[in-house]
Amino acid sequence: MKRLIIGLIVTLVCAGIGGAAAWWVASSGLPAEVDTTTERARLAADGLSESHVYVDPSVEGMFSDEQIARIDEAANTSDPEVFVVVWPESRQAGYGPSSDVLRQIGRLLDRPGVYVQVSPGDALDSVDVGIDGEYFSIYESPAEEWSSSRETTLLLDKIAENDGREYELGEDTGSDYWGGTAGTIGAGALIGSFGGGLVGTIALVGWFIMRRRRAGV
Amino acid sequence: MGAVVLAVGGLTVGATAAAAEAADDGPVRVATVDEMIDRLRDDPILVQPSMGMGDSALAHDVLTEAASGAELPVYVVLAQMPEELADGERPGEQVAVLLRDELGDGVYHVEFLGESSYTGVWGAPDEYDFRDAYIALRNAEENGPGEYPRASALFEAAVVAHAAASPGQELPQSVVDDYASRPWAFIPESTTSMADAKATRWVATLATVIGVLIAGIIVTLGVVRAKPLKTKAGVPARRSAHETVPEQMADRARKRLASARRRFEALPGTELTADPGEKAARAIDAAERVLDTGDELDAVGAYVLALIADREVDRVKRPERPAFRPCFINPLHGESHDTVRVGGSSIDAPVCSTCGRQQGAFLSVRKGIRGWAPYVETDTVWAWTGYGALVGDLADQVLADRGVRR
Repeated sequence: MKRLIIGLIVTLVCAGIGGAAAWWVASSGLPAEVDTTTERARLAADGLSESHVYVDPSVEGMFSDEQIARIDEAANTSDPEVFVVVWPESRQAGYGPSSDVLRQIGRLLDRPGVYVQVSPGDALDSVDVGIDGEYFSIYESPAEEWSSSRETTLLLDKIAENDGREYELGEDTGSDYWGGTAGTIGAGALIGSFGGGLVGTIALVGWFIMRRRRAGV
Repeated sequence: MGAVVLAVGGLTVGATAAAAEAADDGPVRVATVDEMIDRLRDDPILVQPSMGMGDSALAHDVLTEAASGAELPVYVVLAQMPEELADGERPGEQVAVLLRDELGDGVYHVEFLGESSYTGVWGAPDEYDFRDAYIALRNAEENGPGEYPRASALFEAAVVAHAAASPGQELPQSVVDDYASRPWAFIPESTTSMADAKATRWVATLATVIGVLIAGIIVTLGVVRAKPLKTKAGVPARRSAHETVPEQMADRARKRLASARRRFEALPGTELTADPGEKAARAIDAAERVLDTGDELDAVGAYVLALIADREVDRVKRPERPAFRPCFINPLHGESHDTVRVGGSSIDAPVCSTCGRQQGAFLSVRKGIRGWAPYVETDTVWAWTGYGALVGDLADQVLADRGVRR
């Protein structure tokens, strides 16, 4: 009984220390909290202040006025709202993936909704800003030959798909990668159970082997 | 004038001394090469937001400063490619040539979004060599942040512009290091979202806590519930491969030594000088030296030396008694009355009666994770004397050994 109690106490202490160490190590891998806003985001936010579509001057003419008007109207009436940024994708503009700059735009505008990037020749991309809603992806592989009519149709379809989906205002703090809170807990429990079971079994077998060896049996 | 183009593999930078007043209020808008030329006539540095690493005005200032003091005009274009060049090859070089035709000799560094850079020098090409600048840039990349650090077009342009401003001179490492430390120096890598990173932290913590708990419970229950090792019923028990030094061995030795010392001190003075008396005295002396060392084998040795002293005291009055020789296998078995050929040996070792019938296990000590080791495999005086089983002068050898060692 004494050995059992000692073993359990040691186990609890080790679990506490291990958990603290894991938390500490994982904390060092957290990305830095950045609230920088890049120039491109400011320009787009200015353009979106009175419209739901911003077209960078360098790609003016890629969409016709009629196409822009249709996209603007659909984006405006969609629930949640959609904000469309049309520009060439760039890795030299001070941000990482396009979701970063879309979030910057959303923060600047302070208008919850779906922020969409349209880059001629590249796939559509989007991110929810200020809303926590059911899963929605606008991603579509780019066509071999880009055309504004195909892009407009695709964009309108996606906006229609977005319209009416369930959402709540507020930033989504759940992890898409781990599948929300339940997925996070489940993953931790599953990995811990399998890992701990395996390590515990190996340790016990090793102990038995050493015991027999030392005893000379 | 023969224009010589200095093509540097990769990207380039230009700078002009005539630092024209930077741009207007808003970002630079140039859609055609002609607009670009008009723009460069006023300001030799042209950076558009898509190439400005988050702040094209700051980028403009950085490049202007880098190119300041240059003898030849230095022109830098970091921009989106004009649509009229979309179908051409090497648009950077094309534009550099067009710019030179309109703007004259100088250093031209052109990089369009998504394209390779081009650096050309017209006017005094022999004086310009950007190889060191690019070597410095590559070195900076190797030491850059992130998993795959890649210098930004702005960083490259700044390094080349600085080199263009001081041709023939070595590019100071401090300048490159300064640029490399700026937030615009490297292209940001894709980062894990904060929500995912925080969730990963919880997963790691939960997995560790649960894993340690489960592993600990398995080990604890297994150890607690493990039954003592037994042989199968009906099968003769195999003799243990080792025999351990009993607990409180030092106390046993101390009592035995005290007894021997009392008997020795009770001897008449004339008998103390006899050979057995002197041997007893040396055995007691040797035992005292090894008694309190804290070593298990030394404690056994003190015990055996006490037995030897005791026997020598006996031999003072009964010299026909043999000197005490312990069992070679385990001196704690007592006096040897038999001999046995120990495996691997060419001599018969004295052993106790029991070991003479069936050799027992050697007295052993723990050797870390290797388990138990027979005392004869240790590097001690006990190993090579067999605790006196193999020699007749154990006390002398112990005194010599401890005299040398301590």
